[in-house]
Amino acid sequence: MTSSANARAGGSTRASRTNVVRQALRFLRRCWTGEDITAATTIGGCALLVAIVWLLESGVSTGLRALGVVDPAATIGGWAIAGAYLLLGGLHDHRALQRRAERERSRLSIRLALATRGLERLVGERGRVVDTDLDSHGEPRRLWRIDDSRGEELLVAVEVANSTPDADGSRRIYFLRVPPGIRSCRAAVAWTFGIDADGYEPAVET
Amino acid sequence: MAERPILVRQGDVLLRAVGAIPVTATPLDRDAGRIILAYGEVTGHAHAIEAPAAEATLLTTEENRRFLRLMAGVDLVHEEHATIRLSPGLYEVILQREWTDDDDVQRERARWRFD
Repeated sequence: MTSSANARAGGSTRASRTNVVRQALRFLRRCWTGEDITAATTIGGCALLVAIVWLLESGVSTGLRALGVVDPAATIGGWAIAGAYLLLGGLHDHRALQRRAERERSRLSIRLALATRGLERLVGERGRVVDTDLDSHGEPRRLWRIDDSRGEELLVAVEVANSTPDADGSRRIYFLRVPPGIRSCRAAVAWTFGIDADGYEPAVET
Repeated sequence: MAERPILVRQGDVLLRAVGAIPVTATPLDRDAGRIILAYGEVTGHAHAIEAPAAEATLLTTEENRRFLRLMAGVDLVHEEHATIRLSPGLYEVILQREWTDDDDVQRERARWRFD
């Protein structure tokens, strides 16, 4: 194997390790924030399993202790660890479900507000501007965002002006809802046409 | 560096120049002799091309992608937008879209992995 091939193989292994670490960190983050109910349940289930093992061990220890074989302190430690696992698992599952319920409430509230108030009025009342720029005609564009109580995105919309002016010279303003995660006006408009922000540069626009 | 495809936009319609049209694409019927790229939802206005069939054809694929084949320069007209002169060539027709509540539901489902 040549040195460059070795370097490539080494790079690939490093990249693979980095990927595993990144995925593990992502999994832990999702567990911690309660985003992943599957992970939460897995952790809760593991905690329960460990607790059962410890309880069994503890029972055996109790029997042995009656015979004077095991130090009683070890049994008490086992009970304490099993209890801690149970408590943490339970708390985690509770936290995950609570977070999910909060998020659902916020989303329902936004959907209701959208249906009754309309996008334009809603972002005007509850939104904040996170990006501004000028379109190809020099008209301002604004990216609006509405967050939930924890600061996570609930709704993102871009405010743009019509390319062709009306008879009186003014340009009509309209709002377009775009996916959460979009950070710039340009990316938002590009998304509405299914194009990357870098590739969006119309040669002609009316 | 790869060359960017030419983009032409009239309101909520974007035309992207392409190198080829899928062979499975089939021609679409005209509306009163015109090629209609999109109708306005409320106004009834339309992004339209008035040209003989030999010069302009609108095609569609099974995946509902639409393509425009222009053998000559034609005008893309609309009641509210300035007319655009299109050069001969092949274009993909892309309509502007918006994020919806259904998109939101699907995104949340994927995020929470609850179902």
